[in-house]
Amino acid sequence: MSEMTYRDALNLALKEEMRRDPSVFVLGEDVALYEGSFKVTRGLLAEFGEERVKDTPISENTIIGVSVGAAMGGLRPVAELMTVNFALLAMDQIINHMAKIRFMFGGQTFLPMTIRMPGGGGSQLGTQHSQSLETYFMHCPGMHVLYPATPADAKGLLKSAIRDNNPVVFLEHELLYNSKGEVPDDPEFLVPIGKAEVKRSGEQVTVVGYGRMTILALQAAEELAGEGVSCEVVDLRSLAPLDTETILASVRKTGRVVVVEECWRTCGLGAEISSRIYDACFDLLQAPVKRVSGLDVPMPYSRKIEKICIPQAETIKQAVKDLLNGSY
Amino acid sequence: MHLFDPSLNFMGGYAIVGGQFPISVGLAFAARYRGEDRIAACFFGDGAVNQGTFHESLNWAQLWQLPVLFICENNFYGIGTEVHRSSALASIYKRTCGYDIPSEKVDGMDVIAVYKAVKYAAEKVRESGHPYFIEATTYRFRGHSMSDPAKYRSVAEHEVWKARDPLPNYAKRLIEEGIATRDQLDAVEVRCQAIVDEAVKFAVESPWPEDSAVWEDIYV
Repeated sequence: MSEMTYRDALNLALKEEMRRDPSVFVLGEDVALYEGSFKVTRGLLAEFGEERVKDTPISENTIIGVSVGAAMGGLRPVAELMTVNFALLAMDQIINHMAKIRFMFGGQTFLPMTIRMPGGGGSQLGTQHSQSLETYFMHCPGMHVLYPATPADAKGLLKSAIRDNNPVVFLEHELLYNSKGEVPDDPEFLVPIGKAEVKRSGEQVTVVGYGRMTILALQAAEELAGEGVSCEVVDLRSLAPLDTETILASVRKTGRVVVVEECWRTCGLGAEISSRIYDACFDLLQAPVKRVSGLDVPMPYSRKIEKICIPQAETIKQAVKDLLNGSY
Repeated sequence: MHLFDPSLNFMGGYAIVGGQFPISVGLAFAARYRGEDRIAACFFGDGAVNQGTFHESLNWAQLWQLPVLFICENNFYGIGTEVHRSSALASIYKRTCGYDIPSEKVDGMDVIAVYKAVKYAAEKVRESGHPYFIEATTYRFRGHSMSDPAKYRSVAEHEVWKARDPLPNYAKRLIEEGIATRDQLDAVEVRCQAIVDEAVKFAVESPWPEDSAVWEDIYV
């Protein structure tokens, strides 16, 4: 085990996979010479050279389209979109092409490609740079969607994504890059796609999170433990495929659940997860499923009101207490 | 609509106008990366050249110096909109000057002219590793689809182009120059018709898929 940041864990995953497989290459805006807007690709150009670490024009749709073509041509592209917000410029290639090609060509080809997208709010970057668009991708079949919360999962999931033969949307939270954690040293350490993890065991309330929401859920659970409330925290890690079984196993134990989502509440992943819980274990629930969500507004710039648009540890704690108090 | 045969290096027909541009660039990059002596040939119509991917991909192919042969089949109509009503510069081959990609216009109704132009261009792309651009002017003898009676075009215009139909004209030329006889060409037509008939028969006689097939070929 080594302690490292989420950023360095991602960086190490890229380096290890590029050393392991010469067909892996990295492309994106400012990923080579500038070493990435968030420095996730630091040192790659120096180690792997210009043909494997490619700066691109600011042409998001074509970054993904070139990756699709390269993947069909036998390579394993790892594209970086500078932020998830810019993925909206690439939705034609992501949804109409990347997610469809295997199906529409009758399984005659496959796309072993990964798109990394930093995102999330909370940095006062204004409405066009602060979105959480995870459900946009979850909604569409034909690709996996991953969102690590810890450095270990960041490394293990990114390595799995790169080795996987399906297209993967890999979301990273900008406020987690400097977070630290223990990461296994084994270069064969992989986190399986499609497996949630119980990050904290508890008895009274299940809190489901992903990405930075898991970190806030763990913080809330720790503080609630001091007040005598026992929470179990389920970290989704993989949004598609969604590990419904791990969620349900926890809910069957606790009978109460809070789903924390950074995205907008309407048609958010919390609604989907709630529905799956109701379908599978309605009779076992001791309270309705509670959602703690991003507010249904464009993200404001002001720090004071930006904060109320994003779930906080405090709002998660309050939701847990509400469930236990019967005030829902 | 979505024909695909990797055994023939035929990498797909796409139903989003302009979707194929960046994919062609990516295929050309993969070929260079893997050290393969291959070029990508990217086909599209006049309707596709006002998509963002056209400009992004031409810029990219030249920037990365990739072996892509862009072939525009300009039949003057994107469904019902004539090229002059959609493109500020309707001479499509001239557009590549903004990306410093050499280009030429060829009579797409002349089989030999097209063969020569594409042969030259493909060799040039293969030797140089750089992109090249051909605009072939042609015509669509029918509507865009089964539901399009093509009322936006005049009968006179249609007749001018019909007289330039490359298939009968090329056949006539082969016979006049003594390269082929009418009987030989008729035999070719019979063979082609038989291939199509067989494909139609196969499609009509094949069983409907099992319902479970809907879940197949989405993920590896």
